[in-house]
Amino acid sequence: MKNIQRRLRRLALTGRGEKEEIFNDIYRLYARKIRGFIALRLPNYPDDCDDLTQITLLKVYRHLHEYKPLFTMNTWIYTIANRTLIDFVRKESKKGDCPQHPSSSIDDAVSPYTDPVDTLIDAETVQSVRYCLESLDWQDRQIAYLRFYECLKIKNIAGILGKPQGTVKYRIYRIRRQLKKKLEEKYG
Amino acid sequence: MDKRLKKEVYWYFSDYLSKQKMVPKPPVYSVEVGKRDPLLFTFIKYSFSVCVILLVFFIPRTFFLNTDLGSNVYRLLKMEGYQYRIEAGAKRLNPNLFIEKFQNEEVE
Repeated sequence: MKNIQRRLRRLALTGRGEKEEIFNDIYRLYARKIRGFIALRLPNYPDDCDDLTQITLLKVYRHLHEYKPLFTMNTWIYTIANRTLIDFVRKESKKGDCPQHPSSSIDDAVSPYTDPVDTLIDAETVQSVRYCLESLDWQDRQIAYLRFYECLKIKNIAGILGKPQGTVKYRIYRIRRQLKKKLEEKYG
Repeated sequence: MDKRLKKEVYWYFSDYLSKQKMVPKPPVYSVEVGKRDPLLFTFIKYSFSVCVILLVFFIPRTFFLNTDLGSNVYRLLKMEGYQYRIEAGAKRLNPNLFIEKFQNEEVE
């Protein structure tokens, strides 16, 4: 990833470099991640997720030479994805058929994951963590994804989601507390 | 958050991502058709500005000078310009000329 970022910086600063090649690498690395990020908000609309992922990738390609080295590539790409997503949801809500996240109450959440490797490690802990993560609000899931999977800084997450840093900090704290509580309930 | 929990969350999301469909690569050629080369665009922009300047300043002047009135006015302006320049130059070179001239006038 560092390599792509270096090449991207070079392209943005000097205009030199293979745009196609850089984009191919970005596509290989990020297509699935972007789709996953968008699907956290629209899990019931797989076709829309595909479209939005493609739109995001096209935007990335179109603005490759405008990339500002001030930000990391992760932040830049997820910001584009989030803005594309927000635009889409806003447009759909104006039409009247706003895509809704499924009800996220803890009681409804059922984990579909039954991986034998996980069961060997510690099936119960894994299931309860998953159960808890799936019960989270979509915004919290996005934050958890960016923080614990992508390991982004709070400042960057706030930039991507367009929220104040304090809000993001508090939400992360709440997610942690919920997860811990869930595990404590399980094991006392 | 303890390491174990962090690991679990990480596994959850990596599992979640592995279940995501790989979206086909977007048709980049559609962007290529409409793309704007920044260097070419800058060149065209400045060429256009130069053309506008030429149109505004030089073409009306040429048309104007082709008329009788225009050519006369131009000649007058030119002559006055020269005269002014000669006087100014003389003043700059030797102001005593004027002083002498004034003194002579006063004496007369």
